[in-house]
Amino acid sequence: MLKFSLKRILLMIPTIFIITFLTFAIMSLSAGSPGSVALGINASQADIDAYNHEIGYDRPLLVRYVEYMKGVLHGDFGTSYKSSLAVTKVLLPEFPITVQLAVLSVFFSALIGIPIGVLAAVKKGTVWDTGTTVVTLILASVPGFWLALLMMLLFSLKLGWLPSFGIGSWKHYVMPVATLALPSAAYTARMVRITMLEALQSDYVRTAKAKGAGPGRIVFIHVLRNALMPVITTLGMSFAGLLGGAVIAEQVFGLPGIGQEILTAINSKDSPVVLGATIILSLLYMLIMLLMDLLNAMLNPQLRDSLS
Amino acid sequence: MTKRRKNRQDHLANLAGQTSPALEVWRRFRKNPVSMTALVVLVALIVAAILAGFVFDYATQITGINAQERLQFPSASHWFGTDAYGRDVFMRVLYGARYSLFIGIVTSAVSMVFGILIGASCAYFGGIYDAVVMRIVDAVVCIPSMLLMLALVAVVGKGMRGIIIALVVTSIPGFSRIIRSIVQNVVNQEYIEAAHACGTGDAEIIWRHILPNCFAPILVDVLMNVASCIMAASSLSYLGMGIQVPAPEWGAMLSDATSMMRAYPYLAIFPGIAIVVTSLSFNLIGDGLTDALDPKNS
Repeated sequence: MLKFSLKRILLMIPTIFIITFLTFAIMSLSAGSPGSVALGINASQADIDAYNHEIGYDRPLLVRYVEYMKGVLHGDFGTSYKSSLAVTKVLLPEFPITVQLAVLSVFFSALIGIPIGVLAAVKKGTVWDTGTTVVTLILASVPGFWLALLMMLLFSLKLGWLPSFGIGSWKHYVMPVATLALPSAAYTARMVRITMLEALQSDYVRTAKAKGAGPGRIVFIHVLRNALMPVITTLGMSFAGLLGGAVIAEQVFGLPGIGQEILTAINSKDSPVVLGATIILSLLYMLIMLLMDLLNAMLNPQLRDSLS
Repeated sequence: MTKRRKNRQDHLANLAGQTSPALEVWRRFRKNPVSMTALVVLVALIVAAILAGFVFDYATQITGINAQERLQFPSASHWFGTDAYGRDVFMRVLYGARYSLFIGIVTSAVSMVFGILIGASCAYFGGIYDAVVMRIVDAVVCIPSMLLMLALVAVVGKGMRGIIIALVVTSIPGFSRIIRSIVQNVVNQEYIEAAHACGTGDAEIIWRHILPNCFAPILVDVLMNVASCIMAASSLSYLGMGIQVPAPEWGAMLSDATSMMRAYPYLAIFPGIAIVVTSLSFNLIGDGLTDALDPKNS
């Protein structure tokens, strides 16, 4: 297990460099230079060039990347062009809201998706099963922001049950989390159904039946444990989608999270903030995937040999 | 021709190996009422989208201002009502299909080509090349796609070009991975070995023997990708990062409608239904095709 963990962590290092370099290279193509953003539209080209030269922006891409990575290793993600604050200072207050949204959504998509998937698999071919398939397919075709608008229309504007904007009580989180969790729960349910059906046909289920185990014991003791392993990975992977989806939920419901900050930064061509936010959230996602892989390896010893 | 005779003919044709696999798949697909309905809806949408460009005048009917008719609820003369500028929402929704279908189909086709180039070459050549390229692909997958899209839009600029580049770049890694595994399955078949033994060149083996056998599963993936591209494109436009108003893009229309939603809810309903119907029909066709491709269902 220790060997597997070390290998898995070492494999992350090249990935981190590829991610950071790609994002850095993409963002350095953007039209706004630090000089043009910080000095405003009335600044002369000479002033802008002088400013860029002073902070070293006119050096080659690779040099700047190495410099940037040195900073990142010390927790310094650069300085915002717009506010001249450290990017970490800009993003830190917003970070908890986005992560809260994503974590709550993963939690609820598991809480809703897994039982529904199990039910559909156990009652295969019945109304439960078809109903699940239909609902999950439809939910997979509804864009998150429209789902959010529909909920807002019903629960805030028509019924007046939930606040439609800002943060405050737990009620403010209900609709944003539902926006993210429902489509993700639908996907989880589909995955659980497929893995459950596979597990139900396996030899150990037949053996358990032969030994006289009841249907409840088979599903909960034997099948569920094996069927949920791929689902753990799926839930981890859906975290990336939820971090991205959080941008939309934050915008629709006016939550001051990282997503809002990214949209503002794009509009003001403040690329260090966009770059920093993208890299931080990607690293967070990598960390989640690492935890999921380790969890899976703990549950299934066979997986530990897969990296050699 | 009686039904019985037709069945017998089909049977004979099958025995003689004359029914092509594609026809066989189509025969199975046709039996699925849900996916057939989706196909009909999609064809109707495409026809409507093409016709809308000829029938409606963009400057007056789609984006023009008509103050007397503003904010009318749905009625016989305006099926989906009118918006704050007196424009007919039904016409705008119909015209909007042009954006969504164009973006969805073009981005999926372009990223499929890149995905085939990357995925097929990785599966075919293997070794160090495969390891390095797949490492990069895996790394890109680690960047949440919405964030990568926003970063790309920040660089390229808002609008059609930005959306297409953002969607193509974020679709390529997924395609490359899936196409690589599809091609790997085919590469390990015996007839590929036979082709090698006959001295057939790499390019010809890939083009003539491998790709035709991968076509169907790739098509399923492309269809699903069109659906997600349509949703992503409208999301970007909703965030103000894509197609800009007054163009009748569905996401942009919904963004416009949000502030008036309390008094005029219909403005926030119809463009959304259009998005769901379009992406759902792509998903259902993909789903039906998956079932039809499965020989167990014959």
